[in-house]
Amino acid sequence: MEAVAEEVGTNVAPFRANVLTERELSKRFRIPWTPTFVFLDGEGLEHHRFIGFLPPDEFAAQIHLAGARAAFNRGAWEESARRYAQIAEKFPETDAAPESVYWIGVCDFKRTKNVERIYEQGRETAKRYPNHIWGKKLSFLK
Amino acid sequence: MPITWESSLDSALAKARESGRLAMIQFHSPH
Repeated sequence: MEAVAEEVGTNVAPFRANVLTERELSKRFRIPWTPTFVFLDGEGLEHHRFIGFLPPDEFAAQIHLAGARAAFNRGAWEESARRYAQIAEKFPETDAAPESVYWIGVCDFKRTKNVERIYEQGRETAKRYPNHIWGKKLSFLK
Repeated sequence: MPITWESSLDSALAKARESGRLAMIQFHSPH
């Protein structure tokens, strides 16, 4: 739990909302079940969410995935690619790793317009993670 | 190191703007 607390403290500004007392907020974010974790930028725009408790490394990886996605959504392709690469390197066994490997290619394509980078990273994802949903999505590239 | 929770969503969003981080809401139900 220490590691999770450190990841949270370092990477996000956290707020706990009780769905029984924060009814308006729960309705606004259409919360179907708890726990649901929602990641927003400072303007309140949502970039990522997931439902359910996760083991520490998976939870930490999801926090970083939120950061990478937020960077992507604001068009910061280089920053986003760097963040995705860090996830793949730091959390290689997590569910966040396969899609991170793929999105590195998408970021590179956005930045350079070289479509081959998508295919390269897609093939890498399919090869490294054949049983993961992202490996399956990209299996047509093998 | 315990997690320091912000007291409101507005506070979390303000902290996110100041620090360039994201805000994270954990929706929970007490059991």
